[in-house]
Amino acid sequence: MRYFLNIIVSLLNRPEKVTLPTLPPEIMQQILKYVQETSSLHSSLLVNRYWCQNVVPLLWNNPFKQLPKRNSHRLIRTYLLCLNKEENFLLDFNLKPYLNVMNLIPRRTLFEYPFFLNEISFKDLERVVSSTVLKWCDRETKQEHKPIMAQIVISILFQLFTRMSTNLRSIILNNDFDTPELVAFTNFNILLSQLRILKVLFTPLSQNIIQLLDIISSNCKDLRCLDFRLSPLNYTPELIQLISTIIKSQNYINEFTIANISNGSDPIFSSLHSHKKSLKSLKIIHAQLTEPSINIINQFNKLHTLCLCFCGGLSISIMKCNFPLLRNLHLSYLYYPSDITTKIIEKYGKSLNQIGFNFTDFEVITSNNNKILSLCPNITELSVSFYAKQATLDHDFVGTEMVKWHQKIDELYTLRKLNIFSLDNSKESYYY
Amino acid sequence: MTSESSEGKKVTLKSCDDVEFKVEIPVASRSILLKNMIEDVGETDQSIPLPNVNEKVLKKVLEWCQHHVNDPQPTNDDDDSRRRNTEIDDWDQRFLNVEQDMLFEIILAANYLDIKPLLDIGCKTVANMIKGKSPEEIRNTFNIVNDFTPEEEEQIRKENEWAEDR
Repeated sequence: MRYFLNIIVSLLNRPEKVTLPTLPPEIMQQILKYVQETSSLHSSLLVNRYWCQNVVPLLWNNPFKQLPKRNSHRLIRTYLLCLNKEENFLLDFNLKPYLNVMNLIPRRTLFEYPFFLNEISFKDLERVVSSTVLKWCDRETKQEHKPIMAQIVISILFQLFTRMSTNLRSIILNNDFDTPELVAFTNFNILLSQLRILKVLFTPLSQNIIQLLDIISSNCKDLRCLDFRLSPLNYTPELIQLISTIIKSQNYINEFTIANISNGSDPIFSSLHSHKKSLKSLKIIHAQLTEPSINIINQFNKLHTLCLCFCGGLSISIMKCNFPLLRNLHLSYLYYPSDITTKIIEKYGKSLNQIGFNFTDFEVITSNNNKILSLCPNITELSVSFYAKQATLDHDFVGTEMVKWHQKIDELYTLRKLNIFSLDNSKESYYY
Repeated sequence: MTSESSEGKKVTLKSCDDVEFKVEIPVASRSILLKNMIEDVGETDQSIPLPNVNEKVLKKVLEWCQHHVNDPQPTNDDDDSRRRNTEIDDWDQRFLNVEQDMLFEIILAANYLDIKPLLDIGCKTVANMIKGKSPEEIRNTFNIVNDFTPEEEEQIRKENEWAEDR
């Protein structure tokens, strides 16, 4: 009844209903990207065929991300429906010793969903597959069989993605599950050669991951974005060599991030040098810089984004830099404020759109009547990271600093938007 | 749009229904399409025909360009930051508080004329109209006919069940 009333009311409000022009796919895509929430995207999916065609690529470009446990098995079910005969046979054959009933009858799906996969994070994949396996199991399933089953499913999914996911561009290695014998898959090289983004984040660096990186170094030529944030102990000379080889093998690197490297980073910067014409974003977090590496950084004159956070060895030599295109700058120091910030901002402030500090840099910002901010008339975003080493952390100190920042942020009414990055005191690692 | 006090040079735009608008070059240059045309052609007395935009819509679009004439030109590399930000400022919100067909026409014109910030806020406005609605409510809002067969609709629902209720 209420439904009909709503319709009547809406008819009364809008007496003449016009037929809207059909928006072209590129505009539909843009609108749907702004819709963001997956549940609203799901509604859009069911509107009509045209909307459906536009929503499916978005919904399936990284479906693992933030997928709640209760929905995991539903996602995996649809993927498994996309298996071909051989893959399906293999899955069935391998799972049989562990699972009594497999309720999977392959049939044609309306879309080839794996085709739309754009990004895959190993951690998300493992999480989603593990909760699926839990859902399949009953009381009689042996605990030790669960990880084996998860492995079988992951391996099959990789086969499926290797065969179908020609839009896969981004791999995030952030979990050390027992990687299946990826090299053995037909077309795995082709899958690698289409990659554009590689991130290696906080994974315990096992032989598996190193082997995969090795394969990447000889098969990927078109990575545009590289991001290594490992734990300091992982940066052995061998790994540094491997990272350097990956860097050198690429045609054009646009974005490079490295974190937590204390010593021996020079080979990495030397190999980055050959990308000085393409490098637009450079983020160095918790690294020990040397004069030669600073000299190389100074030559990256296409940089739009520069982030130098908690870097030891950062010296005034950085002022020899020439970054005419710089828009985003994030400078932070852990133990002491530095006048390098002031000098760099005096040089580039006018062109900056975004600026970032650590919460410990409050004095730097507010000195001389907010001089630093008045040197940046065009910033629309201020980001403040809250990072402190656990050992040096005093909660009262953090508390008072935060209050100061809140007051400051209120005061900076001219800034249209303020992003505040994560408050994370518990980890040694800096993440953002 | 034909402000008399302006000292700046002007260009004449002609809508598809043959109405001419004399516009200051910086205002017209909010449109990348027009900006490039003006740069290519140089100074000219001839009007630029815009076969895809009618008088009513062109007038509205130029009103936006006039208001935003001093905004910095958007760069190509800030796609992500634009996407993160779904807010629309007050003036733009009032500006886009129009009939739905007009809103869609503005979006199409912004796309054709290559005015990214206008296209953006148009898309955001439509996105806000979609958020939180059921499929039926979306169909009603935009007067869309459901052309799924019941079997298809059921299959789509089933295959994408994981995305429901997140």
